[in-house]
Amino acid sequence: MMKTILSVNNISKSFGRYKAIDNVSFSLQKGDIYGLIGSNGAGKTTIMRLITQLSPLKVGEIKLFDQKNNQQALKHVGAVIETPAAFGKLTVQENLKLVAIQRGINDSKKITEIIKFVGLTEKVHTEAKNLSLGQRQRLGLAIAILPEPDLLILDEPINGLDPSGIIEFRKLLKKLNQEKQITILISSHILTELYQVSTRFGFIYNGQLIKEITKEELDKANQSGLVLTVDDVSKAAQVIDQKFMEKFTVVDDKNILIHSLGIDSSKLNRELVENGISVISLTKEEKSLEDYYTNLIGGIKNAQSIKN
Amino acid sequence: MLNQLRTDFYRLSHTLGIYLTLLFAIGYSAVITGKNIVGGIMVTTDSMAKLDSSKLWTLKDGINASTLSSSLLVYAFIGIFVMTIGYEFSQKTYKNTLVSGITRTQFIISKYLVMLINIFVLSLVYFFTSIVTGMLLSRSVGTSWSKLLATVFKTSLVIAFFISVIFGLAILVLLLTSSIVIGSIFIVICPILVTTVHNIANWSWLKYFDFFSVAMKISLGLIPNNQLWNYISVSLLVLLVTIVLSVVVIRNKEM
Repeated sequence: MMKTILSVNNISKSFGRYKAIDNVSFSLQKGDIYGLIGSNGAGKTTIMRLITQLSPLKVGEIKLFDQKNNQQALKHVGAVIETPAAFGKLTVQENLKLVAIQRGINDSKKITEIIKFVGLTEKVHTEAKNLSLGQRQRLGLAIAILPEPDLLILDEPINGLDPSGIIEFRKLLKKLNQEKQITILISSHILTELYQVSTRFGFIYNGQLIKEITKEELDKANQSGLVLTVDDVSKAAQVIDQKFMEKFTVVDDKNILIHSLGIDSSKLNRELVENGISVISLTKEEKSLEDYYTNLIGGIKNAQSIKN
Repeated sequence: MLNQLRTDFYRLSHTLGIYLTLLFAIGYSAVITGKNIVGGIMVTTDSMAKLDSSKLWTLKDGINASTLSSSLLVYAFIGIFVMTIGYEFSQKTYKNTLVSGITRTQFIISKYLVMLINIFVLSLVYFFTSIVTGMLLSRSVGTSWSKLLATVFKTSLVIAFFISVIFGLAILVLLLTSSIVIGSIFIVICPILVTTVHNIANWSWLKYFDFFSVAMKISLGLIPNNQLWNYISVSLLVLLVTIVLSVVVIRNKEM
């Protein structure tokens, strides 16, 4: 049975008249890498601040590790919210030593290991204020993972990283998830990156969670599959139905959409030709997370404009 | 909470400012005692009468002079306030602290205790410097050693406690305004304002809130024993209310 690490139930948050979060519910199972997707101001950071109690929760309920969100439960959480925070005049090592004392960690080897893990070995004696933005992100991550949390909350961790830094960061997150079994809640507006690391996605729009989807479901929804253009769609449909057993949709009198990228396209082509069907083209159509997001938000905006 | 205290002491031990404050305390005390000078603000005639500058000072006189001059310490110790809690807010590291599992109450109390302990230790160093300076100048003790050391301990404790009440109020101001500058200005203005209003308006009840003058008067034995507990009770009550309010504010604050 899957273990629920985080359960967010019907939470809302207002700042004056502005409703930043509106009745949001979702949960994270052990091992999830849950990507929160939304534009700036959609409410991603507010949700993370509510989970970590940096923002007081007045409406709804948040459960961490199956208990009501309290300070004790937070001991098992590591978080980097908004910007990574460290004491500027303390070195990388001193900042981590500070966290070790704070969390009651006595093993000094662990600090060395974590510094190596996040790739800051060469900066161990550098003051935090002298680190680059990417290095500060790594220090923030090191601070968050030093206590070996069960849940890691990362708010826009890729911001400010250069391309190689992004690739390394991605590897780091996967390593944390796979080797240390850390469940991760991550937000970013760099959707390609989020797609690479996440196993589930939650789409936030105007403070509401408008869609939740697993990576598999997303892939399925995004895979337009093979678009087949033929001279005789009804005959082609019969062949596909009999020989391939794949789901398909007849788009118009020339095109058929096969909902699978796994189909052997050369075999399909051969079968169709052998049955006297002329294949004009066979194209693979695959959409990205960005396309999915754009369509989702576009659909909502359209619906809203029709309502108004 | 013990871990948080250890964390703050580790951090302060790696902060240059704390050593500069220590140097100031040592230097200031050495100059007062060595040069037979009484400095500071809010020094009243009553308290000055405790000291006869014309005679040759003993170690006890040095301690009295240091006590009279200690009003300036509250300003030197602003650095402790800034380093202990101000840095957490200016560098936003409170996010790491509050996500570490510590409760808001523990956070406020631990910050208060760190400041109290630091002020106490620095006050002890301040008074011991006076003794060492006097000894280097071959002065006599002026009383028994046990009484002198007891005075040093008691005075340090009293000064640390009353300064800490002002710092406790400054924590509340910092939380309410989210500004270290306003918090620090409060520490500067609060004692002067209370003393000035007390003198001008003649509101006698204000004497209970003139925390720093009270500290000096208690240390110099100028407050009668039957009134002593009134002063201490008011300060304790103010401190308690301040801590409770600070906890309420931080619990409801967007951090």
